Amino acid sequence: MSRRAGVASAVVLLAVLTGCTDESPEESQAGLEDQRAQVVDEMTEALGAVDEAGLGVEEAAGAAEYCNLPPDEGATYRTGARLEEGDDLAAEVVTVRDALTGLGWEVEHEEGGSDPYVNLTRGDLRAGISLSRLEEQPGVTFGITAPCVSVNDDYRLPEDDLRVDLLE
Amino acid sequence: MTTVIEVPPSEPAQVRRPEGDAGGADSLAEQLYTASGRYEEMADEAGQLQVLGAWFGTAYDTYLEKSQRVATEHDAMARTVERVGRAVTAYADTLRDLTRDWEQQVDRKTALDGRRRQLLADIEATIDPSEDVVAALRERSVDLRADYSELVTDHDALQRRTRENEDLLRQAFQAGTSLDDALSDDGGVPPVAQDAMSRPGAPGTGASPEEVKAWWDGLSEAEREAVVAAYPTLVGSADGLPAGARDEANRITLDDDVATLSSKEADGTLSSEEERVLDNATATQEALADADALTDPLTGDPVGGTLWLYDPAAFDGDGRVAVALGDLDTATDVAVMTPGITTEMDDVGTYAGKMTNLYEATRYTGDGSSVATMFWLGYDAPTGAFDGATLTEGRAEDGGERLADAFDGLRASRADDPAHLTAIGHSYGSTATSYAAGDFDLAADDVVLIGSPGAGPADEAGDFSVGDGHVYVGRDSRDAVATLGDEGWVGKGGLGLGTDPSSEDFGATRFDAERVDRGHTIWLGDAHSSYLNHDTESLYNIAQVVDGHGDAVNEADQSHDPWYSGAVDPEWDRDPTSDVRGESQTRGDDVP
Repeated sequence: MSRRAGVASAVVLLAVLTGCTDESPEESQAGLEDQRAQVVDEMTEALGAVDEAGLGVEEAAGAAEYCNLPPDEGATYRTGARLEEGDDLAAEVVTVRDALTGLGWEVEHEEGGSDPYVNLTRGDLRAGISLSRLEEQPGVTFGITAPCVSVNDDYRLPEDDLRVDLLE
Repeated sequence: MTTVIEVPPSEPAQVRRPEGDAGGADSLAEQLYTASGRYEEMADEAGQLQVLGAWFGTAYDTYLEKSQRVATEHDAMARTVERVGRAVTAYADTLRDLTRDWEQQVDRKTALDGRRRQLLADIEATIDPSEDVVAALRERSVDLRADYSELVTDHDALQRRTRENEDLLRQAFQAGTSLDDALSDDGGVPPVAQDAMSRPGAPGTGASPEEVKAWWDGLSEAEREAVVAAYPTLVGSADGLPAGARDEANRITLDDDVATLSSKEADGTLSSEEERVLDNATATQEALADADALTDPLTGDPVGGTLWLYDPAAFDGDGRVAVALGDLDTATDVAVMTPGITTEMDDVGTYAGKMTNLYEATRYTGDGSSVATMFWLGYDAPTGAFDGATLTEGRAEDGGERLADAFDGLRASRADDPAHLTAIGHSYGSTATSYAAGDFDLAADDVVLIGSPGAGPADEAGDFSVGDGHVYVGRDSRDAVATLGDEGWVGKGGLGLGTDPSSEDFGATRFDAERVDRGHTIWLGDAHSSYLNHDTESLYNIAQVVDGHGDAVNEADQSHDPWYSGAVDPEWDRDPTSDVRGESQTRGDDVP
């Protein structure tokens, strides 16, 4: 497909560069808290399904993080969990996948082998299942991440990054 | 038979005169000396008025105490204002020296251009030359090239000394604002630090980064500690010093700023300028805390943050700052990212977050080598679309020169253990990076341009100091900013800031940088702002370059501009991926 740059591009550029959102910093914070509530709900549901499938969870948490660069600054909320180390990690990846698809998640991409991983989507949320690369903490990990949303230029993530311990 | 004799280009394109008014600075110094004298008079007067004859008792004791304090404080202020006055005088003297050097360089350039014209004329007039004549002409050309090269080096040094002179003056004013400092002996500077700073190669003397490094290597541990404590602003911005020393010095200044200005804020005495400095300092402190808390995605060990540059009052309060993740003094692979317009120092948290992404992605997808990633805002980025500076390349050129200086500093600090250095520029920052690599001999190994409105002075990748095999470009097909650069034989009438580096004509390596949630038009979305987001094609490919494996990027077809239609972007219809190994997966699903 072709695109000829011209005056239209200049107009677009001005729009791009003059800011991203009319929200106040307080509204950005509130939006991110709403996103946290949604992602934590989904993750809590997923952790329940994984537990029902017989897998133990070692740790699970969520935190906000910056995503897009200025001038269209953004933030998102991400959760992750690490399972107790088992004997057959590849089988555990499949078990977690089945637990999530049982909740309505759809597989977008999947690879097997010695280092398997699965990507899933549900609405605008994305989930991933893979093996931990942390040398000291082997095992299966999985997480759910929200899309990047624009935030006010002056918004800063709070000191605790809206962190939540999901096993408390 | 045709004989080719290569005549070197005339460079630098312009010998830039150091800005400033030495006469005006002298007048200012005079006024400061006058003010100092008045403080001194007041101190003397307060001292003389302590002996009042027949007055005894509690009230007199209180009067004595207060008048003594007035005398002491005014005496201290007299010395401080005098010190600032001396700094202004020194600035004026240095500016005169610099102006003389500039005049000499102008004369040298004129002479070299004359030699060049004569050489061209002689070549033009030579018909059927003998081997000796050709050899003589070639020798003249080689000599001329060497002399031009020497002039370029001297010109770069002149510009660096000019900036240092300005920085020193500003720092002298900033250091002269505290009564506490003024009241301390020698302004709080111990003799061991003063002695160290008087040796050749000390920061702030116009020494090159290599000379500064040699000066540092010659200091004892005690001298280093004294210098860092006594001159933190000077040490914190000194190119050539180890990053660890700069970090230590800058953290001292940062902590001091936050403590002092927070106290003033609580007292209700904070000026609007100080409010901006405090905002910049607080944002830096938070970003640094996040950087210090980062752990490596493979080992789980602390990565460590570095405050490589901290100057919160620079550029009328926009500020200068550089925050790094990883060890700049030892990492095998070091990346430095330059941001674009609207970026100010209080954005440092967002950008440190991006550098976290790049660190994690490089480690996660890389060969296991150690990594450091740094956000560098060392130039005055235009403030927005309606800032006149956005539509021109002046700030980009200045930024490019400063960036090249920063790289020289990084190189000099590790001369015996050189890192693989990658310069990354986003948006207007890509144009600044292009100036650094195109005009100021950027000492990088690889260059990455993302979301670029144009490559500034470079018409093709081969114009960059790194060579055309080491220039990489990420362009999201929906990114409006990246459509602005000139492309093809018609161009875009100066709409952008030079040639589109993703175009076929430019000849860089373009890598995949599309998003799975892209729209159907170039009306932005996240197109211009998500090049460093996790699990994107763009971040995956940038990480390959940073890791020293540019040959492993997933190459995209370059855009091109056929004569019969507008520019064509082959990436427009390709199906992008997210979180796919070897294409766009940049981290695991670990617990955050």
